[in-house]
Amino acid sequence: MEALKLEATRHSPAVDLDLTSGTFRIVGVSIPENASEFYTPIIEWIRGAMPSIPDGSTFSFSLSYFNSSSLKALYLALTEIKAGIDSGKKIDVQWHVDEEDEFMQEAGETFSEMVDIPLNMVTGSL
Amino acid sequence: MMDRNDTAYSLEQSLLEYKGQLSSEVRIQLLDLLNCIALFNLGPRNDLKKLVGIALELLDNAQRYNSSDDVDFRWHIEDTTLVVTIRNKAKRENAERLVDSVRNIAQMSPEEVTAAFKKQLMNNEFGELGGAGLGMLQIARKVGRNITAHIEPTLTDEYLCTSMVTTELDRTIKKA
Repeated sequence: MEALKLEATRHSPAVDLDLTSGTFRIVGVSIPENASEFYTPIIEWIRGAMPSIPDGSTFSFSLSYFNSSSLKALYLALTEIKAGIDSGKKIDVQWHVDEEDEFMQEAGETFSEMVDIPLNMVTGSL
Repeated sequence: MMDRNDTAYSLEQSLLEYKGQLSSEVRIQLLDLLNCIALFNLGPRNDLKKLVGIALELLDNAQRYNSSDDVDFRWHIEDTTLVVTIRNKAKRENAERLVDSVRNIAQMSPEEVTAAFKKQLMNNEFGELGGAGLGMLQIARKVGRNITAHIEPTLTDEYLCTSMVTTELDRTIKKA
């Protein structure tokens, strides 16, 4: 499956989803005007690639800011990863949080609870 | 970088006002500026993103549903209260949805706000313009239900919408 790579912009994160290199990360600011439009290809990529993602892979999310529509899109992306884990994949999900960043800490806790997925909270951004 | 005591901000004010067209770039520039204003007027705090997030959600809504003309945006900290206001024109259906949403939130307990937020998050649906229907619920979740929304008809078929959020700044918040 072809890699999905997007450069970061001032309002959208860098996306690097690549089966060949084993890199799965979303990094940056996520406040696009239309989060559905931005994240739909990402969610579809994760869904399509999941059978080929090897055990031991890590999905990393390192976001400095996001709006509520990105919150929903990220939730949907995480539910795709959760589906893979439920089917037996051994995947680590890392949620990067800067020290003292209450907003991102709470967001990680919300996702962890709502997706029912163990998010590995990592201090420091990518 | 800063040498501030815990109550320094209580005697200060800060104000940002913008009137004009709202594009993605303008929205981002305003947020950058607000981050700076909040940091230098309130000092480092763990809840800065939460406070700036109020503005982000209001600006998002205004950009998504603004039907024409300019927006009026105002961020104001006076003493220990933050007031964020935005005024924009919207189509009648969007204006009425805004008022309904705020009215519903005002009638909810904090637990009901959380439950409504979770339900909306999990419904997998986005609006036609990419909205998630979470903005006002997110604000209510983070800073309480001090949200008002007023609409008034204009001479065209649009409505002038004014949304305002007020929140007391927590003096006991842990400094970052």
